Amino acid sequence: MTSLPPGLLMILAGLACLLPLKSKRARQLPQWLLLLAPLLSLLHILTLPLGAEVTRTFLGMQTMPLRVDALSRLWGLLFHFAAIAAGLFSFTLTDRRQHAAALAYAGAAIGAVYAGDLLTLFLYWELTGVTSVFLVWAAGTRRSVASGLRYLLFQVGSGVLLLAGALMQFSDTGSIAFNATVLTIPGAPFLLLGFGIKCGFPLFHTWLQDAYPESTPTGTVWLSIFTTKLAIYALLRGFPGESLLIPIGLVMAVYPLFHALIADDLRRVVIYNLHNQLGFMVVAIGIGTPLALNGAAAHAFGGIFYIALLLMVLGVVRQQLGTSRASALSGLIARLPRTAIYCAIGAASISAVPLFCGFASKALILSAAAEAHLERTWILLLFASVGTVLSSGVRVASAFYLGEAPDTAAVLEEPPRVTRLGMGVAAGFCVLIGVFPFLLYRLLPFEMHYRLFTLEHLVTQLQLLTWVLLAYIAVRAAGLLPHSRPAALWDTDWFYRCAFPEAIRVIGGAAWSRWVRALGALRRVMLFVAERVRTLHDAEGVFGRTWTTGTMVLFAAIFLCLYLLVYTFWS
Amino acid sequence: MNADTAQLRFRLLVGLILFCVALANADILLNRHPHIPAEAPYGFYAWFGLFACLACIVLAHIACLLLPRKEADDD
Repeated sequence: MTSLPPGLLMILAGLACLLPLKSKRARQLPQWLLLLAPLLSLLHILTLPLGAEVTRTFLGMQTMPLRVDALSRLWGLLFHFAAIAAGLFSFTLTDRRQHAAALAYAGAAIGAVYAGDLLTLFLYWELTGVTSVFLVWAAGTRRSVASGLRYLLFQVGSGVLLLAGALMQFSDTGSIAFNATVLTIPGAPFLLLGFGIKCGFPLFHTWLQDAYPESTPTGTVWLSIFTTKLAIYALLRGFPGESLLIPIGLVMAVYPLFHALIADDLRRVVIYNLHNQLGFMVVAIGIGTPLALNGAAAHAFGGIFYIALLLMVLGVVRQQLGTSRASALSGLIARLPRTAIYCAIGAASISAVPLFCGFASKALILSAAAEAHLERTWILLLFASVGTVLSSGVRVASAFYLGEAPDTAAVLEEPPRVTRLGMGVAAGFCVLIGVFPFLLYRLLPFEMHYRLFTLEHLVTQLQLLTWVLLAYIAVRAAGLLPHSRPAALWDTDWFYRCAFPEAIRVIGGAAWSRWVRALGALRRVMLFVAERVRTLHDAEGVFGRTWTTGTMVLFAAIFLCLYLLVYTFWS
Repeated sequence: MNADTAQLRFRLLVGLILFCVALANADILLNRHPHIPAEAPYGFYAWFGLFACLACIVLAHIACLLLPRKEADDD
């Protein structure tokens, strides 16, 4: 089965969704493909043995469309499990264009993690960007169209940098193999920046919070799974132990928290927390010890499920109430008790409550930072953990568990069974990993011996969580929460949304006025010349009037004299 | 909110406070092995959680003052 590239089945299934089908039964094909394609693709990758490699020569370059090792296998499994959960969640949707985009997007991401060379990675990398933008545009709003265009610019730009890095590496080493590299190798900085844009490095992250919340309720779930985790995979394979990633990851872990604490739209809050969780993974990759790299992989694995679960829950709320704004939501448990359970599991997982997956993975990263004696890094990561509890864990749960039930004319009902099953799969992974972390630890790329459930771990984590909760209750009671009034903060998109257009307006305005002045001056000069020419050539002008024969003879004599003088002295 | 609910909430809050205090003092019973000096102080995780939470909220308020964004700015 190595001749069939992983992910291709899903890409083909995505294309099949677009077939023009007439009968009512046939029109349900895209929905069934959404469930069957990830399952078949999962069966396919399970048949691939560890160590399998397929190489091809393309334009004189040795490409490797398939490489199965511990890392690609882990990500392959993760993407398939997540696609199955998202497929179940999206099953009731009848928009086949979204199904097509989602399947092709997932297939491209799966293909990318099995790519053993940079050219194959580039092709799948760009395909993820091009297919996923249709999920942003699927919302059909003016804002989603604009956000999608900005998203596409970042995604394509990231791919172009990846290609530039690959070509520089090829010209320097004669190989496009995708292996661990260092920044001193030509092309590596381009690769790092290309991966970083997709991963949401500071200053290049705004596409994340801009585009994801503008998508449809199901589209946001799909988007949250693949793009950024593919970038984490690429960093993990390409730049393990690159110390520059530690400060970058710390900024990613801490900075989005303040936005998450203030933003009113809870889906945006969760996306900010997705970004903050990516920061933990980037820091762990930067630390580079086997424990840290395993921590990054484990956190990516668990993070996909709890972020997707929270977005599913908020997607259900948005579908029912037409909003996911915190200021408009309270006491939802009374109307959506089953969804409230999934919300609690998602909130507990992202808050790293013991027995939930966030605890199992975050503990690895914090332990790795502590073992590497990176004291400031460790403190900032712990601070970011507290911020995560406050911003996502408590805020999303508050919408369900605090306040009065919504007094709305809309009839709130639990989503269909298959949709709940999708949430159940995601929630199941959150609990399964939390209770039996060794199931995940066995799949991690590096060997390690780590005891999660020690009394010290449990007690210290509970100390942290309970005191955060106590502080939150005190601040809430005092009415001092920053999100008590709907608000938002400017992000670095201020540069390209405000500063650059304003600079272009000011500089362009000044340049235009100078150009107009210069044209005016030129016009005046030309008018002056035209006037002089007209004066000389009109009926009374020197060249226009009729001259007498004597004057003509005089001029002829003068010219003949001049000629004679020149001829005499020149020769 | 009726009197019963208010009383229940008060009891829950008192219970939480007692639980927090008990947990913060659980360090006496634990044989902790701090990897770095920062986590060595008594009840470190408890007071760190408290102060980090307050710091987050204060910083978020400051950010609100410095970088306010209107809904219309998104367009």
